[in-house]
This record gives sequence, structure tokens and C-alpha cells, in this order.
Amino acid sequence: MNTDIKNMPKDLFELTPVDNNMNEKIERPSLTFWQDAWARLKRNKGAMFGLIVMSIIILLAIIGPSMNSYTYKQQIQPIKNYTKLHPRVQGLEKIGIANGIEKSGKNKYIEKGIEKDYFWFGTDELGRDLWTRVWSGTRVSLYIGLLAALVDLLIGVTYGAVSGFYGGKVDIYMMRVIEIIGGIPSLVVVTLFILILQPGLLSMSLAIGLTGWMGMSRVVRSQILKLKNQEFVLASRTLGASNFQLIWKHLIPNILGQVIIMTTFTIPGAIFYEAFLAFIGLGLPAPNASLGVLINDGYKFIKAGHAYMMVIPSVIICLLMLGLNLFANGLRDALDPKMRNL
Amino acid sequence: MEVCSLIKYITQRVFYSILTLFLIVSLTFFLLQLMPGSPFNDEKLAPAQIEILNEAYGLNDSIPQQYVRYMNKAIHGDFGVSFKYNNRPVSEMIYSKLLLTSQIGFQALLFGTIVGIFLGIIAGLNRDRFLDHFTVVIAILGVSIPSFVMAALLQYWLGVEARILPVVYNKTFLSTLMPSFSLALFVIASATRFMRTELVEILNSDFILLAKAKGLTRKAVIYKHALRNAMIPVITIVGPMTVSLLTGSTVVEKIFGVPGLGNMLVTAINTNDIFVIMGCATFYSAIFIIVIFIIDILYGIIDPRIRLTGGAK
Repeated sequence: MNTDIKNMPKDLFELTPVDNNMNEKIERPSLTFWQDAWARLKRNKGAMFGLIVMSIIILLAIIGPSMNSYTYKQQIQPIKNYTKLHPRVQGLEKIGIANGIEKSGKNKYIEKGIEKDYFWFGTDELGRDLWTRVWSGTRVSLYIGLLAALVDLLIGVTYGAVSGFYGGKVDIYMMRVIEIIGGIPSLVVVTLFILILQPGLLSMSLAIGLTGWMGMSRVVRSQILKLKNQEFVLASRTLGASNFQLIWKHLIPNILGQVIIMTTFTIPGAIFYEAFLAFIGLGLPAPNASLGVLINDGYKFIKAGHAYMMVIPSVIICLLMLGLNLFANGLRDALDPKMRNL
Repeated sequence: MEVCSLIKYITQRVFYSILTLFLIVSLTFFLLQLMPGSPFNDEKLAPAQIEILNEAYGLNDSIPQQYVRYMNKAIHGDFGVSFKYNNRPVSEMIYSKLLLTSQIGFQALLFGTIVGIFLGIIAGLNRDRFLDHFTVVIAILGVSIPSFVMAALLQYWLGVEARILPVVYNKTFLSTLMPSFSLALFVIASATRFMRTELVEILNSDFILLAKAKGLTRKAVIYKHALRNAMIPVITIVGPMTVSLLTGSTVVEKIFGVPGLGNMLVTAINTNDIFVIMGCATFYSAIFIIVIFIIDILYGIIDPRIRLTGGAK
């Protein structure tokens, strides 16, 4: 091998054509913010697991109640044959789980002569099908979570945006108000609200949403403070955009990522509060079911050997919360890599 | 100059704390006036008897009159009497239940933070390895499982099925373990998350690089520099946790039959015992405000880089 560069024959070299147009060529397809976030989310195993768990639960909440002929408040007649039946699932009963046999060894399905019936999650003390009740309960819990998040979103974003955008005295006073309201433990307020408004779907979401918006408005405010002096805001102000337009058309879309992250964390919180209220006796009124109500109802029979009544809704609420939390964490990492902390 | 600004900050905070407390007491008072039903809902009572009771407790006066009277008494530490428990003063009731609740809460806090910090350190030092992922899963589980669900399931599996621990509270230390543990789950989870984040951040900082460059061993870098600095901010989460332990204990105490504050509040809610509800709400809020206040001050003293008067928080 000839290593003497100076004495190399000229004909070994060949001139490469330089195309100046190629310098600026973009090799990879350009991604929008959302495409980029989705790509990052897809790589996050935890978030994907959360998304799958969440999707399965949501799907079952939608189709579950109509998978058999019972309704969530229907007491199957004759009631005395259908109370406290343990879970029994076709197929699974052959391998010894969910076969309807109680711990004492008796099988109520055979005793009562209803072997042809299968209650996948069993029945409760009033002879209602728990499969239907659990999934319509999940539906109610999700509904409360979403509604609370919506209230949270409306108040929190507006308050934070106004406070951050106008700044100065307005900001100082608005933040003082938040400091004072934030000093009240939210559980106390939620409980008091429900005592007065009476438990119901709307009142619960309202009470939970009303106590949770402070965090959201703090985040929105600090983001708006950061953004409002940037050139693009100045540009559209110069072009004659009103304050309202500036906030809603230019600033909020830029902090949408943060807002979405906060919202995904609100939903599991609201579901928790609902279950909490049900457990201290402030749950939805009687025939209605929510996961909290079901856990509370089932808890009364746990010592009598009917653990399934409580364990099943408990497992579902835990899975739902787990799915939501994992997904929210992943979303935070994907939308805002700087905030990554878990 | 610095002492001056600290004093100014403290007086400002004290003022806002008192204002907050005043607003909370007023708010709970007026909210509870709107509450349907009366504490004397007993069917055995004749209308005339209810009338006499209402008169005796001053419930027939106009609401502003009642408000002024309540506030006036509250300033002097008298939060009214319970309608259900033989006119026992609310403050005395709270006082007598406080010890047990705080014992359970303190056990949970102690156990939770120690385990949490430990797990957080393990996770932070093994970043992106198996141990890290494992502890992160534990942390997320801890946040996801509601304390009362955990309590009820523990009670069933350890108490009813396995018979390892007492099912309900029976004044022994053993029977406080399950309530404390169910409350501690959340503490473990938050402490782990927090500790891990701090440690990862510090291990990537310049002064750790310097310490390594000086030729310190890995051990010395971790113990002398990283851990010390990572531990300090953990104080900030102790405050919110104390409060969530107090409020979280409401249901856990009910499940294990612990005669503490939380149990008292639940009973009061179910029996319309207005003054007890108000007393508890005020007490919880006061604790919340005081704890947050102390931690803010402590934090400013430990880490002077924190701007005390920074508007954004």
C-alpha cells in the first residue's frame, strides 16, 4: 500500500460534482409537533401499556352492559334464587376458577337449580347482575372524571390565561386569590359541596372540578408569562389582533401540550374522589352504580365470604387508575421532554 | 437586608394564613347552613321538642346572628358542641381523637419516607436498568391504588383470610400496622418519584463532574455530594403528604374501626352533626396551612437560592 500521498499518481483521483442545490436537502420527512409526540409516545412501553389497559376498560364500559340481557338495576326474578351468586364463567369453571363454588364448598348454582345461568362477575345481595353493574359503574366513573376535567379545564385555563396575560396588579390579586383558595384542603371542600348539592352525577363532577382548577391555572399562567413577550405575539398585535384573539388563537394553542398533560392527570384524581365520596356514604343514590358505590356495597359482604363483590370493582378501579396514570406520564414525556421526571 | 426580607415575608404569610383560615371558617359555616336536613331528624322527637332543641342551640336565630356568635366563640377556641354526643365540646372531641390519628399518620409518614427515599436512591443510581424500571412500577402502582381500596383488600387478605394481623383496631400496636401501611403506600410512591428525579438531576450536574474529576471514589461522590443534596428537597413533599395522610385517614379509619378523627368526621357527616363537621374542616385546614407555612420557611432557610417573595409559585 502506497502511503506517500504526495507521490500518488493524479489519475487515481476523480472529481466529484458538487451540487449546491443538494446542500439544503432535507433527508428525513419533517414531522409536525403532534407526529413527533406520537412517535415518542409509541416508543414508551409504559404509556402504550397504559393506553391498552385504558382502551380495554373503556371498550368494556361501552359494550359490557349490553353483553347480556340484564340491566344494572334489574333484580332477577325470583330474587331468592339469584342473590350473592359467585362468579361463574364458561370454560374457566373447568380449570377451577370462577366456577361459582363458594369457599364453604357449596355451589349455589346447583342448589338453586339454575346451572344453565352464568354470571361472569356474580350477583349482588339484591340479585342484580354484577357484570352489568360493574361496567355501567365504570361508565359513570369515567363520565364523572371527564366532566370534572372539563370543568377544571374551563375555569383553570381561563383564569390562568387572564392572570398571566394581563399581568401586573390583576395578576397579583388573582394569584393571591388562588393562594387562599389553595389553602383549603380539597377533600374538605368536595365533601361540603356534596353535602349541600346532594350526590348526583352533575353535582359530583362540579364539586370535584371546582376544587381542582388551581393547579391548571398556575401552569397556564406561567406558560403565558413566558410566551406573551415573544415576537409572534407582538407581530399579531401589530396587525391588530385583540387581546381575546391573542389569548385564544395564539397563546393557548402554543401551550396545548401542557394543558393536555394537566387534564390527563385530573381524570384519575376525579375518579378517586368519586370513589372516596361513595365510601364515606356520599355516593350516588341507590339504584345507580359507580365503581366507588360498588366497592362500598361489596365491602359490607367481605367478611361474610363474598369477597368477589368488592375485589372485582377494586381491581378495575386500580387498573383504570394505573392505565390513566401511565398514559399521562408517557404523554408528559412525549409532549414536553423537559418536564420528564419519571 | 436578608433578615429584613425574611421577616417581611413571614408577616405577609402569617397574614394570608389567618385570612385563609377566616375565609374557610366562614365558607364552611354558610355552606353548612345550606345543608338540607336538621341535626334533629329523629322520628321519635315531636315537633315541639325539635322546636325546643332548636331554640336551645340558637338555631332559630337569623343566620348573620348565628355567624357572629360562632365566629366570636371560635376566636376564643370554642367550636360549639356536638348534637349527637351529649353536648361534648367539639374542640375536646378533636383533641381526644387527635393522638391516635397522628400516631397512625406518623407511622405511615416515617415508614413511607424511609422506604421511599431508599427506593428512590436505588432507582436513581441504576437509571434505565431493571431495578429502576421495577421501582418506577412500584411508584406508579402506589399512586394508582386508592388508599381505602388498599386498606379494604389488606384487611381481607391479611386479616380475614390469612389471619396474620388483627382485622380491626384493638388498641394494640399490631392493629395499627395495616392502617398505617395502607396510608404509607401513597407516601412511598411520592417519595420514590421525587427522590429519583432529584438524584438523576444532581448526578448529571457540574459539581458531581468536578467531584469525579478530582478523583473521588464513586462511593464518596454518591454519599458526600449526591445524596446530601438530593435529600433536601424531599422536605417539600412532606407538607402536602401530611395533609393527604390526615384526610386520607378518613376512610382508612372507618375501615379498620379506628376511633380517630377521620372516623369521627364520617360519623358526623352521616348524622348531620354540623358543629363537628365544621370543627374538623377548620382543624384540617389549619393543619394544612401551618404545615405548608413551616415547610416554606424551612426550605428558604435550608436552600437560600429559593426566592421567597417570587410571585410565581
